[in-house]
Amino acid sequence: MISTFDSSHLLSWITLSPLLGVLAILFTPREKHDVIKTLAAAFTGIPLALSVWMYVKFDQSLAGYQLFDDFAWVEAFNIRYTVGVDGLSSPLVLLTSILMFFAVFSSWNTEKGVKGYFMLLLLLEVGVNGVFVSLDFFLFYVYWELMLLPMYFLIGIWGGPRREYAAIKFFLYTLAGSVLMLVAMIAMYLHSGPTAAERTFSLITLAERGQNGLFANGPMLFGMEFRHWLFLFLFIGFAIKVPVFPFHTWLPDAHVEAPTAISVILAGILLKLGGYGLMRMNMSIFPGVMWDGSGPTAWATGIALLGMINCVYGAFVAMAQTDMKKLVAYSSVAHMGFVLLGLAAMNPNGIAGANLQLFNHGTSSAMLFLLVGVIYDRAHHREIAKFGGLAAHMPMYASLAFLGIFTSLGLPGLAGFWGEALSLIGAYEHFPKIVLVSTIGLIVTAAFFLMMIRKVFFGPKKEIYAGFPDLTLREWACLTPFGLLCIVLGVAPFLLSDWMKPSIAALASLFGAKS
Amino acid sequence: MNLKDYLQDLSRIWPEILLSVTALMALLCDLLLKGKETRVTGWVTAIGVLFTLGWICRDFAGADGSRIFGLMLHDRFAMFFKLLITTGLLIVTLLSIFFRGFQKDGVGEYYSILVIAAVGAFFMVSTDNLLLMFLALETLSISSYALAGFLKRDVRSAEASMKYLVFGALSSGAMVYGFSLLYGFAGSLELPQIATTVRTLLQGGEHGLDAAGIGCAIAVVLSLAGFGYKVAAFPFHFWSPDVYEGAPTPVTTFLAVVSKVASFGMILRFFGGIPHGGEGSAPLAAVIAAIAACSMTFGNLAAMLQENAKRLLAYSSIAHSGYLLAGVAALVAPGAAAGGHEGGAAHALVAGLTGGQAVTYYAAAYLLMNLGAFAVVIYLSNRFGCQTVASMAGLGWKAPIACGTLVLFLLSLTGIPPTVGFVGKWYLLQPIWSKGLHWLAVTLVLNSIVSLFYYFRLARSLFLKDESQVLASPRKNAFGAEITAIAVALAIATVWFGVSLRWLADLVLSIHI
Repeated sequence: MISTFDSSHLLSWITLSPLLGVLAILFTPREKHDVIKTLAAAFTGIPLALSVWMYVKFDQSLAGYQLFDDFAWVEAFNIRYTVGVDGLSSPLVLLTSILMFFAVFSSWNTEKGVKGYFMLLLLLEVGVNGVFVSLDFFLFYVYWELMLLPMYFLIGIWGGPRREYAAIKFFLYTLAGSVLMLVAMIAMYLHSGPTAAERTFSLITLAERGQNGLFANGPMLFGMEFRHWLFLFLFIGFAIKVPVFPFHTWLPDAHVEAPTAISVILAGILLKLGGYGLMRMNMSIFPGVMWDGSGPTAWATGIALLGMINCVYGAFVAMAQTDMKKLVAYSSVAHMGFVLLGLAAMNPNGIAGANLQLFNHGTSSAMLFLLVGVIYDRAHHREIAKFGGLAAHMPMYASLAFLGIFTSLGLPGLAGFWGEALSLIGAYEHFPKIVLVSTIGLIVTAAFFLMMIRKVFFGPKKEIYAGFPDLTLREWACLTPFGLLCIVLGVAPFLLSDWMKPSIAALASLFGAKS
Repeated sequence: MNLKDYLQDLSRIWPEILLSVTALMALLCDLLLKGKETRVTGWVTAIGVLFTLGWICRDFAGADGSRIFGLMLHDRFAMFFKLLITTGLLIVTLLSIFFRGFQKDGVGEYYSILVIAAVGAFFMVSTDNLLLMFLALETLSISSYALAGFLKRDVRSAEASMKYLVFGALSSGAMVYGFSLLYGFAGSLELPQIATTVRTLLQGGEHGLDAAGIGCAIAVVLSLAGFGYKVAAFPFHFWSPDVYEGAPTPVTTFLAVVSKVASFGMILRFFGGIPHGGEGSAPLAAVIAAIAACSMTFGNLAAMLQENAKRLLAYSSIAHSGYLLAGVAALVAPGAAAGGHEGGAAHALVAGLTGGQAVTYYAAAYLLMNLGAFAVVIYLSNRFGCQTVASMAGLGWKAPIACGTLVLFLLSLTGIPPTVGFVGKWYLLQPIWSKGLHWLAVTLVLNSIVSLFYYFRLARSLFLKDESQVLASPRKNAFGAEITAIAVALAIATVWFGVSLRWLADLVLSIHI
């Protein structure tokens, strides 16, 4: 299957070029803040430029992986350095590169430990992009864990008042998920072939063998089928990242305590890793666990139910928040519910919805966190009740905020609509009742966002906010690209969906859909 | 044995001879310097150890599995462990030179005792004769008792030495009793014969074990108790936190790293012969697995409560003994259990990596990351006088390089890539899973979550507290740069073996155990 070996090593450059930035910053004196920030901008700019090039080079008519880079890492265990992208992973690579670039700009005011901050940020980008491009489970796992340490310190050192608690909670939760993934990885490796020479970590080969029923007749362990254990371990690992109820409690803490740029990355990219992992591992390698040949199994129904809980519960909890950042954080929990619903549907509509939701939530939630950051920099608090009449004082800010919020609540014509709509349409085929309940989440989401608009931007003007300057040039520069993406992808969703279509069709064909 | 054979055998124990000469040189040097200028003695020792290290590297490929004086084996396994022991000894010697906590006089003999302990460790990993094994173990142990009590004017150090001695004597007694029973059953002191006998006796008849089988099981368990004491595994661990805390930190490093690695080398030798015996070894594997699971769980849970950095590392090393013993359990467990149920040919797991190889690799990983962690602990106590986690607040901003490497070592101890600790854990999990000990594999990974919590209490204290919270003031003449250099070298090794897995993996796979 690995035929189109690409000698330009494009994906490796996208992934690993920030490492050069880490080295460059390491040898820069720590007082030279401007040099460090410029270096960080440059070394997130390189992957961004290369990702755009990847978008150009990517052949949108192919379903399989392309832009391969592949060589042996450890022959004794058949560990390979294999990277490649398909229609599911390449949009997320582009998203990561965009968000990381703007995260550098939105943290331009950082004064504390500048050197460490930007080194960790660049290291984080290596980890995230690495996960999206890895086609070898071992490599995937290494990148997956590489993200933990930078994130721990970024929250723990530069975060808010409860940062130490939030940082270790994030670390422990994510590690709990990933060690179970480690067990699953070792078990899959050992069962992938009878002898050491035939065993593999290749996600392509594992998916092929898994679809041919390799794990289907494994031994029973503690009363449950072997493949169900593997599926469960992987699912927990990804569910914590998504986050799926009841593993979501790290998210509000981490989002609220993290500095603005890190919240942007957390909501915009790190949550996407969970959804991506579910597609790449659980659905591709164990299609038989979710689909019994004629309809969804109890496992798929369970995932749909969890998605429903996320939608409804996340929305209601968001409604109860008085802190703007917490509200946005819980709205992410609700939005990720649609991803689960779409994936559980296992048909082209549902999977397309889930993928659109992943990308568009990346831009809209990033925008919302940036917007909250803007007002926090001025007011030094985020209490919804204390604001009022901001639209009069900061008209530009208000208009961009409306754009972000309406995208997020899924207004037709803006980007957020397509993911939610398609997920629900797809899921209706198998789970009509669950979809009906989930729509409550949609209504509640609209309600709490509109209430926030009313309280913060309208209502009586408050004199203390009268002197607030409107958006600065740097804030403009950070926010408008996301605003544009929200509008463009709302009007022309095919820019994204055409890109993903062949890969989505290939994935859906595992679950009985005709391609 | 004619003279030619004798000389040839002698040439195979050059590392042992070199180390013994080094010990004598250290004594002589101290005598000539009249007990002053102990750092010179330290450097002389370091040079001797470096020569030994060079010889082992040179001789590595020549290890052909031949016997030396009918008592020892000249194989890759022994050479690999000798390599680890010598590397550890070298770092410990350097750390001792830079350590500030020793008293002014009477340190000269310290270095010679240290080296003699390592000679004992050399014999431990290369012998397959129970008598020599016991003698070697006692050489290491008795030297360790003296080393632990080396701060003569410090009550804690004296207490540490005493505790170590009493517990050590007790467990040595149990072990030597076990050895004598084994000798009685097998009629031989040599492990291959003993392994055959144990295999036959533990196999049992139709009605389970007969009287001889039960006696044999008791003998093995008694020996296991002695080994468990040396590696501070769960029910035999009581001495270790106090000894680790009371002993001078370089000695703690030696006990936690070199002594433990050598003991695991001995354990692998001892159990290496038994596993091919089919179902008979299942109960033995279950006992070892239970000890392993208890050690890791207890060590990690207890470590969460520790305030003193050395005690924290002591409990962490109890947990790591558990991880290593889990690998030993996989070595002893009867083969290919996971595929045996109903899966047929597709699921018959031919282990790519044996438990012994996994433990060997993990021992190397354990050595690197613990040496590094202890080096930074010595750095912090030298330069800032810090012993407790709380007093280290904000020091990461004062000494970013040393503390940064500590974070890396902690990451490795937790088992997070891209470090050697992760690779080690991943190697351990393979044979554990393929031998059907699924519950042990899950226990092991769940334990690494617990361990993250207390390892990162250190990282939190160092970096998450502000610089303004620093209480300690830096001292002069603390050898900060030298110890940092050692830590950085170990950190580079930790990451290097975590990323470029090939070399060490191939080396370990070439060891047959």
